[in-house]
Amino acid sequence: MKRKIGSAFAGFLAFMLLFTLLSRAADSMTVARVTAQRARKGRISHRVSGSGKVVQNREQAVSTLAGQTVKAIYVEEGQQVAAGDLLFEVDLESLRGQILEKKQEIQIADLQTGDKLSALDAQKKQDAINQSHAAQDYAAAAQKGGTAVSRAKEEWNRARKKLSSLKEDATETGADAVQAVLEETCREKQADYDLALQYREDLEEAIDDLVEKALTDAQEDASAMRANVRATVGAQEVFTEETPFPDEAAQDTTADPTLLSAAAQTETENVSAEPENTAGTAQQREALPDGQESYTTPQTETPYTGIPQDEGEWIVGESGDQSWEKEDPWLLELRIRQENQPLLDAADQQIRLLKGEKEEADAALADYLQKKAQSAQMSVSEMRRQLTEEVRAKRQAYEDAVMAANDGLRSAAQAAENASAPKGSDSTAEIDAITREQKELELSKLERLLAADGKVTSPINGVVLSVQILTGEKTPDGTAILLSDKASGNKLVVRVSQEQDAYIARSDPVTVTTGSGKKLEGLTVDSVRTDEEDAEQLDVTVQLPADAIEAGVSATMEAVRDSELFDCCIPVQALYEDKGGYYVFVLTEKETVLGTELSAQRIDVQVLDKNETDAALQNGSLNGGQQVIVASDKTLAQGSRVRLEQ
Amino acid sequence: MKGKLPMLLLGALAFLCCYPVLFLLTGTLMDNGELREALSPVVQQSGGAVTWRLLPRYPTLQHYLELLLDEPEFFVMFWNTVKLTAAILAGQFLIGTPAAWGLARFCFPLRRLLSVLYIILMMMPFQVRMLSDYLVLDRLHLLDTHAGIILPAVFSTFPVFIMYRFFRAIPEAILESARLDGAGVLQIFFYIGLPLGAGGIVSALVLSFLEYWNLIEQPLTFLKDKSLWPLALYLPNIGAEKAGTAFVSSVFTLAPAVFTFLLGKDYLEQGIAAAAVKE
Repeated sequence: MKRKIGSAFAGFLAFMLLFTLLSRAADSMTVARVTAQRARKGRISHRVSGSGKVVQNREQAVSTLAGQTVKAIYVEEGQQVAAGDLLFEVDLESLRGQILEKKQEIQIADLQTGDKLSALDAQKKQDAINQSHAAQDYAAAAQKGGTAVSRAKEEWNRARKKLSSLKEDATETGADAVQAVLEETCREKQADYDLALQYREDLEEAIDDLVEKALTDAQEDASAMRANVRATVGAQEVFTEETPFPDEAAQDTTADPTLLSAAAQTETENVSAEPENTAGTAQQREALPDGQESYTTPQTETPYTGIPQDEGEWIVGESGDQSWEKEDPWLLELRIRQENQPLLDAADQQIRLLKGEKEEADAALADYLQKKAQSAQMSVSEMRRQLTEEVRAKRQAYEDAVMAANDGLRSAAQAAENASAPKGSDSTAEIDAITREQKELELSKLERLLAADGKVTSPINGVVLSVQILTGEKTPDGTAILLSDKASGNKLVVRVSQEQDAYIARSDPVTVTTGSGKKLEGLTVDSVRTDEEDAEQLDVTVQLPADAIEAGVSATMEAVRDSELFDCCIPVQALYEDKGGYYVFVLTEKETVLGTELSAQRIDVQVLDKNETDAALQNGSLNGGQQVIVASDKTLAQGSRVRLEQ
Repeated sequence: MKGKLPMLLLGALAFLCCYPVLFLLTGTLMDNGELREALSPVVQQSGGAVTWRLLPRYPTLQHYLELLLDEPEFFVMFWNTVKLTAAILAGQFLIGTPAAWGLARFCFPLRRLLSVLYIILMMMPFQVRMLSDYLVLDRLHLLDTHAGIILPAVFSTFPVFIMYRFFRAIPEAILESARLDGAGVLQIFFYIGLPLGAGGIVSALVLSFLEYWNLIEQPLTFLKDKSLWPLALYLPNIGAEKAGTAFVSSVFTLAPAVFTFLLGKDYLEQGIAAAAVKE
């Protein structure tokens, strides 16, 4: 029994021995095998390299007029051309057609310009006529209103005078006084009627003089303007050929157009009962634009005296100076007479009114005498009452006339103001001139291309970089063929990552190697710029010696920049990144049951600089004797047991 | 019937004594989840009492494999314990047996005083001798070495005391006969003393084995190097999350003691009886 127990004990020990070995073996399989090394002093070299293509320093675009049909292309990309070599040719038929079309466009533009000028001139004349008509209407309204007011005022005064005469003679010769008043009224009416007839005759004479003067002036101006008139308005040739100027009338006529102004003034004096109505023409011109004229109340007794003329010209004067410059004489005369017709009409109306009044006064006197004979019993008091009633009625009529005249004047002044309203600027003529100049420039270019038989040649010695046209297609608006200038030398343009920006700069030494193994040293970086197409890339340009490498050849560039000397450099594969920071694992010895074991201890470090192979750490990140784990066959963590491989 | 009742009582007591071992064996077969659930009142201080099943719900040998294959530290400690125990027992046999023979069979001055001194030293617990042992071992540069554990144990007084009792029980006539036959001192010791005192020697060694297999205080005091630690220090270094591994390690720790007990239980009774006899 004891032997069995002893055997079991021995078996137990053997069992434990076996698993001792197995557990050791299993443990050794789980322990990471690492290699480690100590930090060292060193520099971090940054090597920037990339490949690119050799290109010319300068490019030149060859272009021609857009829209030309390409007849033939004589070059292809990469072909070397000399100055004067034929690049491509355009179709002459199409070119000639374009030239003809361009010339026709210019002719059409000229004709349209002439039409526009003519229309513009006609519009100006129409505006002048409208202004003239507005002024005439205003004058007529003033004349008419003035006449009515004056007449009403006179009748009112006359009634008052009769009433006062009746008061003075009431006690003695009441009936005789009335008769005297009526007789006096008849005399005054007759005198007014005579004056109106005289004014009508003077007015006609003044208009005739004005017509003659206008025809004379028109003949003088026509000789100077005839050439222009012929050039611009052919239709007006009839004026000079078929309708001669009335030279004799012009020579005999010495009447000034302003005579009519005097006539109008005379008329004003005649129809006005007050001395204030004889104010001069200048005063009337000043008063009109502001529209301040009005018929006053009976107390002030200052009736209307103004005429609406902005330019200071009396109605007829304007017609004589400006309106007939390019008109037929008969048209001119007709227009002047039409313009002054309202004055004649006003005079005729005045004559008719005065005649009616005269007849009424005569009838009143006859009626009075008849009544006096028939009813001698009429009392003075009854007559005074009638006269008082008449004075009141006349006054009311006068006030109504003043209001009507003011309303008419206001409407006429507004119409005249509208007619003389300023017009907007018109640059049609200048724009047409510019357009024509542009078309002429295009025509000259087309003609030059035609003169060269539609052939476009190379302006420089170079290499064709790109051909932007196709045979049979229209030429584009921009570049047709892009050339590189051989005389400007070559450069290598290499694209590198934007992350390399800190390690390459202008004037850095570089080495350029071509695909065939040709190596150029001692070159420097000419420029470093952000790539236009990809903002994440940099374009590094290296100027190449003349004739060193042909354009179009691929080459690589390499630039090396050493950093300052760092005290703590480790291989970059020993560096781990976590949450934006870096850490390393260092070897630490630990006493365990299994003896002294190595384990990995995590240490956070600050990286000063690094490249593809090495990293420089902040001084003090590692102790001098610490070994940094640079390689491991298993993933490490804080405290991982490791086994160092020598 | 009369004889069965005591047997039942004794069987019940025996089961009660063996229940911790059953508890231990059941725990080694539970998975981590079941262990965590069962031990949570103790481990996680969640309150209540630990409930234990005699048979695990989901038996597994996972903890045995983990200990045997993934815990090389356990085997280091196991063999450290084997080494310490074997060396101590060998030393005690080599040193203690002659010492006990000398005290039992030779008459020399102050022998009785020396015996009393031995008993006094045997009665002193380790805590009393710890400081002096430490100073001596430090002077001898034996700290943090297995020799610092082995040497003091080799010269332990307890096995000498046990063997002394057995050697004293050998009749003097036998020894006198040997002398008459011309046997020398060594011959008498090797050919008469050792065979007749074998029971005492074995019982002393069995008792020493049980003591030094579970040695805790001395290694904890004198050994800083963990690689020298014995198995008794393995369990305190296992966390609650590895309770299954702790149960398995306890089983493997228990096994040698059981084997030794079974091998020397006859002598062990004699030795315990000898230690209890008054001189």
